[in-house]
Amino acid sequence: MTLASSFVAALVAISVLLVVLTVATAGRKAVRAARDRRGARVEAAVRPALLGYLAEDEPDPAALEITSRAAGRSLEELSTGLLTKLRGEDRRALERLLAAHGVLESARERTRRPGAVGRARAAELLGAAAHEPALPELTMLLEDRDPDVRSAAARALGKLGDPAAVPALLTALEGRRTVPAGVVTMGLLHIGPTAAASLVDGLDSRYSPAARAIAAELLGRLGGFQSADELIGALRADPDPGVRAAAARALGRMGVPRAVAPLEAALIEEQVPAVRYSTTWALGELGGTRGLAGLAAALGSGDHALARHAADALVACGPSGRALLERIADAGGPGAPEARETLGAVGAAR
Amino acid sequence: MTSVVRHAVVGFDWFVLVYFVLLNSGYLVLIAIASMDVARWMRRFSFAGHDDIFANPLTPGVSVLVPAFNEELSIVESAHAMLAVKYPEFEVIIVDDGSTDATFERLRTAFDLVEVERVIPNDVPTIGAVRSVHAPADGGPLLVVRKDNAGRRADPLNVGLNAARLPLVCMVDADSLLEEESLLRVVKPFIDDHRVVATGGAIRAANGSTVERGRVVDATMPRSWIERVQVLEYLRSFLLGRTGWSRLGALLIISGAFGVFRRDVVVEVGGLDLETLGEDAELVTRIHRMTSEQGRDFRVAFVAEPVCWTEVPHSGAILSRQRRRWSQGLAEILWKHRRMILNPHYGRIGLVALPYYFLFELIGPIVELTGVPIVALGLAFGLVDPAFALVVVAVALGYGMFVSLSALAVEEFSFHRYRRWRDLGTGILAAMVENVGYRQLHAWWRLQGIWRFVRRKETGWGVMTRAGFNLAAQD
Amino acid sequence: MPRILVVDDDADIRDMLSFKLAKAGYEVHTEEDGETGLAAARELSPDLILLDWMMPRLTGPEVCRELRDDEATARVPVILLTAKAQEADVQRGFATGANDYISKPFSPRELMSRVQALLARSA
Repeated sequence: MTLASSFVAALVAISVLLVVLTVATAGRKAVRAARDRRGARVEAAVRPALLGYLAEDEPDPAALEITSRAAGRSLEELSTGLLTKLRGEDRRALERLLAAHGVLESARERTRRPGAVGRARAAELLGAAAHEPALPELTMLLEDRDPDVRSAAARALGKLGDPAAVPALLTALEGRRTVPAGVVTMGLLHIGPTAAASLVDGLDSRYSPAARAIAAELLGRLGGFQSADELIGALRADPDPGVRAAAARALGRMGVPRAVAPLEAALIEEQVPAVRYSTTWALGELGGTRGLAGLAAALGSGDHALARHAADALVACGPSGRALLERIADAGGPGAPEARETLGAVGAAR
Repeated sequence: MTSVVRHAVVGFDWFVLVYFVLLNSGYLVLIAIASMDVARWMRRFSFAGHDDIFANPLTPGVSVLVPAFNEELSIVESAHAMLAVKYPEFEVIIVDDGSTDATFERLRTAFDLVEVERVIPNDVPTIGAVRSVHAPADGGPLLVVRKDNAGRRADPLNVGLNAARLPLVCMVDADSLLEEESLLRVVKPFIDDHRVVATGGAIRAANGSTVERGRVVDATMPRSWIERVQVLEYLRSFLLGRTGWSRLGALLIISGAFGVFRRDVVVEVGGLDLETLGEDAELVTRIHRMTSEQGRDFRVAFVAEPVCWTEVPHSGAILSRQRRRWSQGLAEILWKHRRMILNPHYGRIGLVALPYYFLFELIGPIVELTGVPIVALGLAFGLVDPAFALVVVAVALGYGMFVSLSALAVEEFSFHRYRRWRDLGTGILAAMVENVGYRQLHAWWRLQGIWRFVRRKETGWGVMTRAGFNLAAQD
Repeated sequence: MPRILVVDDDADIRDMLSFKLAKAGYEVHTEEDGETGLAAARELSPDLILLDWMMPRLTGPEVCRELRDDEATARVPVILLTAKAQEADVQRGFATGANDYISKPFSPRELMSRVQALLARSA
C-alpha cells in the first residue's frame, strides 16, 4: 500500500507539474508581451528624436537628450541597425552623436564585463561604428569563452577594416576556441584589399589547412597580385588539396599569365578531382591559346564532370577555344556530348 | 491459477509503467537538450548572420531536387517559390516522374520551356529512363527532366542527383513551402564545419496558416483537431526531438521533405536506396555507417529554426497511409542495417539512436495498444490494485501530456511563430488530445506498417513492386 | 509641393527617408511591400518613387515593370534602392525601367541630391 500511495503522490506531482508548466508558458507570454510594450514605448520616444537628428543638415549632438538607461540602450540598438545601412556624411553624424554621448566608450568597457550577451552586443556596436580604437578589445574577444561573442568580434574586426587583425582572424580558425570559417571569411573580405599583404603570410605552413585555403581564396578575390609567386608555389606543393584548388582559382581570377604553365602541369599531374576542376576553370579564365591543349585533353578524359568544366573553359578562352570545341563536337567520340551541350547553351544565350 | 494470471498481469503492468516512464523521460531529455540549443540560438546577433552567407564566396552552390508526380495543381507556384529563394548560386531541377496529368504542360507554359541537350551521367543507379530535358528559353536556373515512372519514390531523386551539377543537393517535396532564407540557414552548418556532409531543416505544419506566393506569412493553428494534433507532434518530434538528437551526435532521420547533402558523398554511398520506403532516412543511416566503417569524420547536423512548411494530411485516410508507410520504411531500415544495432563500432548511432528507434518506434506501438486495455482488464477482474492501475494510466497519458506541453513551451519561449493567445490555448488542448486518442490510433497504424514489412519479407519482392507503384500513384 | 512615395520593407529606411524628405519640404507617403506600394502609386500619382529591391510579395523590379506597363504611371521617375550591386543586377534594374539606382549602404544626402535632380528634370 505504501508503494501505491507513493505512486499516487507521483500522480499528484505530475498533475501539479502540468499546471505549473501551463501557467509558466502563459506567464512567459504575458511577460514577453509586457516587455515588448515597454521597449516599444521607450523606442517610440527615442527613434523620432534620432531620425530627426539625422535629418538635420547640420546635426548638433547636444540637441539629442538621453535621459534614462533604457533610452540609452534603445539608442545603442537603433544605432547599431542604422549604422549598417548608412554611409557618407549622415553616417559620420551618427558616429559623432554616439561619441558625444560616450556610447562607444562604454561599449569598449562592456567587452570586459561578465554577461556574454552584453559583450556580443558591444562588439556588434563597435563594429557597426567602425570604431578603430576598439581594435585591442575586439582582438581579445576573438578568444572569448562564448562562441557567439567570438563570432561577433570577428565580424566587428572585419568592419573595422584594419589589416592588423588578419593574423588573429586566421588563427581563430583552429584551436580550442574557434570562429566558424564563414564568419572569418566575411570578416577578411570586409577588411578589403588592404588585407592582401597580410594574407600572403596566411599561405605559410604554420597556419592550418583551412586558414591557408581561405587565404588563397581571398587573395584571388581581393586582388593580391603581389602574391602570384606564393600562389604558384602553393599550387605546386601544398599538401592539402583544398589549398591547391583555391590557389588555382585565385590565379585564374587574377589573370596571372605566368601561371598557365604551372596550371597545365597541375592538370596533368593532379589526382584529386576538385583540384582538377579548379585548374580547368582557371585555364579558361586566363584565356588565350596556351592552355588549349591541356583543356582538350581534359575534355576527352572520360571523366564527365571534368569534361564539362573543360568545355566551359574552352568557351571562356575565346574564338580559338570555341573553334576547338566545335571540332571536337563534330568529331564525336569522348568529350563530344559535353562539347555539344556547352555549344548549345552558348548558342541559346546569344 | 488466478495467482499466475494475476502475477502476469501485474508484471505486465509494471512493464507498461516502466516503458512509458522511459519513453517520456527520453523525450524530455531530448527536449531539454534541444531547448538549450534553441536558447543559444535565440541570442541572435543576427544583423549580419544570413546576409553574410549570401555574400560569402565560400558558400557552395545548391541543386534543389524536386520530384514531381501529378502535381499539376501546385507545381507552377512551387517552382516560382523555389526560384525566388534567397541564395547566391543554385539550380532547381524538377523531375517529372512520368506524370499522367498536366504537370509538365503547366510548367512548359509558365516558363516557356524548350528542349535542351544535357549530359546526365550515371553516377548513381536509376531505373526509369530519362526521356527529355527542358529549360526556359531565356535562361534561368531551372531544369525540368522528364522520365519514365518506375514505381519508386527514390528514382526521380536519383535521376535529379545525376543531373545535378553543384556541390550540394537539397531534396524537397513538390508541395513543400520553403522560407526565403531556408537554403541560407540549412547550408550554414556546411560552411562553418567542413566535416558536415548532411543537414536537415525543421519541418512545420502549414495547415491553417496564411500562404502567399508560396511563402508562409502568418502561422496559425489549423481548424481541425487532426491537423492540430499533428502540429504538436511535428513540434515535439520533428523539431525538438531531432534538434536533441543532433546535439547528441546521433541524428538519424532528416525528414524527406527537406534535407541537404553533399553530392559527392551521396554518390559515394551509392545514392538513395530504390527499394526502401524511408529512402532519405536510409541514406542518412548509410552515411553514418560509412562514417564508422571507413573511419571518416562526417557529421550530420540539424537546423532548428523552422525552414520548411508542409501541408500535413487533413483526413484520417491519408494520414494513416502516410504513417503506415513511414513505419514500414523504418522497419526496412532497421532490418537492413541490423548489424549496427547495439554495435559499439558504430558509435552513438549504433548504441543509442538505432536501439531507441527499435524500442520506442517499433516495439512501442505494441505496448501502446495493449498496455491500457490490459490494465483496464486487470482492474475489471480485480487482479490489480486500483491505485496502481490508475497510476499506470496516469503516467502513460499524463506524462505524455507533460512532454507535449514542454514542446509547446519551448516553441513559445523561442521561435514564437504562433503569435495569438488563441493559438496557445488551442495548442494546449491539442497537447492533451494528442495523448488521448491520437497516439493510440497512430500506434495502430504503425503496427499495420510493421506487419506489412513482415509480410513483404515473407512474400518477397514482387508484391512490393505493385504496392510501391500504387503508393506512388495514390500520393 | 512634390509628392514622393517610399516603398521599403525596412522600417528604419522608410522612416529615415520620411524624415529627411519631409524636412526638405516634400510630401511623403510610405508603404512596406511591393503590392501595397504599387496600389499606392496608382492611387496617389506621386512625382517620384523610391523603391526597394528585395521585398515580400512583389519585388522592386516587378513593381517597376508594372508601373511602366501602365500608361498612367509609365513616366514617373523611379529610383531603385538595393543591397544588390553586381553588374548583372544593375543592368536588370535599369532594364525594368528605373531611372536611377542607389546601392545600400547608402548616403541619404546623396539620395536627396538625386531626388532633386530627377524632379527638376521631369518638371
